[in-house]
Amino acid sequence: MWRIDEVFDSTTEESVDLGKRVEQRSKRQSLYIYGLILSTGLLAIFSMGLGSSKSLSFSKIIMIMLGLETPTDIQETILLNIRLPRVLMAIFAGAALATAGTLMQGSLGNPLVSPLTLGVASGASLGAALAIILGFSVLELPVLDNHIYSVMMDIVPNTLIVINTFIFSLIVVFIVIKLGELRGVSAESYILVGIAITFINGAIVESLVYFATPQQLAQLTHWSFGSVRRPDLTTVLFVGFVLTLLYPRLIKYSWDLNTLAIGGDDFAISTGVDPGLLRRKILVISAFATSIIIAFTGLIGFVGLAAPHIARLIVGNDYRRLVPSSALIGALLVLIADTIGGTLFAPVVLPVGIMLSIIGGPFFLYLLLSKRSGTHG
Amino acid sequence: MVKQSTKKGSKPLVEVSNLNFAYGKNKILSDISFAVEPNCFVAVLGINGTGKSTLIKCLNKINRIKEGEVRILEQPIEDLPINELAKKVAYVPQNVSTSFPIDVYDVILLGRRPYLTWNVGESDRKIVAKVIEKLKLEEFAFRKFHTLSGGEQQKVMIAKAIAQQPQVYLFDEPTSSLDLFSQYDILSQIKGLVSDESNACSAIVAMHDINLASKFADKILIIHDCKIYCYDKPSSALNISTISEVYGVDAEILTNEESDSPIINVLRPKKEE
Repeated sequence: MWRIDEVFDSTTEESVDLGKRVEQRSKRQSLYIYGLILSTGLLAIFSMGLGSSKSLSFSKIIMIMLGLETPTDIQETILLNIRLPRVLMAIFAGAALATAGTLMQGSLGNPLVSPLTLGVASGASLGAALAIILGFSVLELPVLDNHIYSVMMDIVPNTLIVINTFIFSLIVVFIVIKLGELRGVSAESYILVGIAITFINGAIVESLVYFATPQQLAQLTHWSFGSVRRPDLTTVLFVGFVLTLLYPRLIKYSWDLNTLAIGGDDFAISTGVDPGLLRRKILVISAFATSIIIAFTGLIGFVGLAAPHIARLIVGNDYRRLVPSSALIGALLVLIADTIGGTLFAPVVLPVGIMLSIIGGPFFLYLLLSKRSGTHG
Repeated sequence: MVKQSTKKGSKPLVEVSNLNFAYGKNKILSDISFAVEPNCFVAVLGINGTGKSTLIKCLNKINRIKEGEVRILEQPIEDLPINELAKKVAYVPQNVSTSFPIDVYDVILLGRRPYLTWNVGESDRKIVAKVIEKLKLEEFAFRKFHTLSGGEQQKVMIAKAIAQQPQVYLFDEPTSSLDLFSQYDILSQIKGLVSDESNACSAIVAMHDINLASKFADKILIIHDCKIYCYDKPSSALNISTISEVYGVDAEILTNEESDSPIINVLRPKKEE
């Protein structure tokens, strides 16, 4: 018989051949990722060139970026305060929601899961409804950005909504995770508890809506259309900073998710992975990333479900590549949806949440149906 | 010849003492104690639902034990983190039903998971390449795991277990859904692993087929009524009264001229008295 130690001094023709094939395969898969980075970058620049100000065309942006042309003060203001935050927020939101979706689908072993499955969205809606309709907030803020304007218009200030949605979505997710654990840390218990809590929150929100004034109703409805055009540059950079801190932690779980995906809990344990612990960690981090995005953008749901699946179709199911790819695809999807939403009926801007579902839905269906029996699956 | 694997002075790889296990109030295992020496193929037999799989899963923390103790290489498994345990004990489930399309190569690479943080090292790749070569899996290496036949999948799982470089292999009915060739193929691979004297590892294999167990195992462990009915080499463990009592059938015992292992020929279900 043979021993595994012999491995180190033998390089047969087959193993050389195998090594080559492994290398080729990983090169091919890296190529997809580079392609995605490139397309996201190009689209971001293109999208920077679109907007109500006609003086800033696509070519002008390139010239400015290359340093061949100095922007006027107005141009600079438009670029830095309107277009850059919009484009960056689209990228961050798409990437974060898609990553959270991928990890949650993997850890819960369910392709129907999205970052909103565990009740994040219902918590966010509840937070927003409480803030808008009852004026209730978890934090008392003495001076707010657009306070006077808000009082005049009978509108709840934005900051209040942001903080409320963030905190309420986190609270709801933690309740779901705790209740899920009570029922045992299996994947299905989290999903079932999440659905139940979503319904409860939905009922509370609807009761609140019943007593809302037309203004409040309008504001709540407006909030619930996800949009990446709300936050300013400082906020966007802050969100980006937080996500950059989280990302290495998220991607670290790729190996463990691969294990779980292949053989379930028993197989994972025997390969050195604690599935219960993995699930808990991923759910907490995903919920945090999702809440932070949704607090600033409102509800953007579809990308967290679709981007992971599109990424699977392109790079396969190895989470080491799937996680970064689906982040890029998520960024790309939100960017496309926002760009089209902003130009289709300009100057009216269709909210990105709606555009995502209108464009993304059929595209997603097409991919699923056309690749149903394909090898990429 | 039944290989006598009990070497004098060699420490047992697995020691189970006074193990009790129940699912809720449903008692499965009661007062189980046994030890497995290096280079030993232990077949765990018993009728359906006697807790063969349960016992296997108690040995690597899939089932958390509350009463009794399991030691691997003299360390209680409760003291070992799951990741450390995975370097010592590898488990091959009965069947892996995955809907996840993933390359066979990557499945085998998962055997290196307990040793990895993020990057796959050169030595990890070499180990995987060697395992693939030895189990003759080259032609499957870049096929999707879920498109393979049951026997092929089982072989890939064994390859993954070998890549884990454990000293204890746990198999849960590895041949239950396989054709004749694959059954012999898989069991020969397992036998080959444990009979390599230069590598002190053992396999504990839950099985259904008494004759396959008799042919390949060094020791037979029969579980009956939650307890160990006997734990001995096949020629002693498998006799007419054991077969009758445990399996409820009348049988005759023939002897395999070549290997001296008993062959059980079942005649009829035992008549009720």
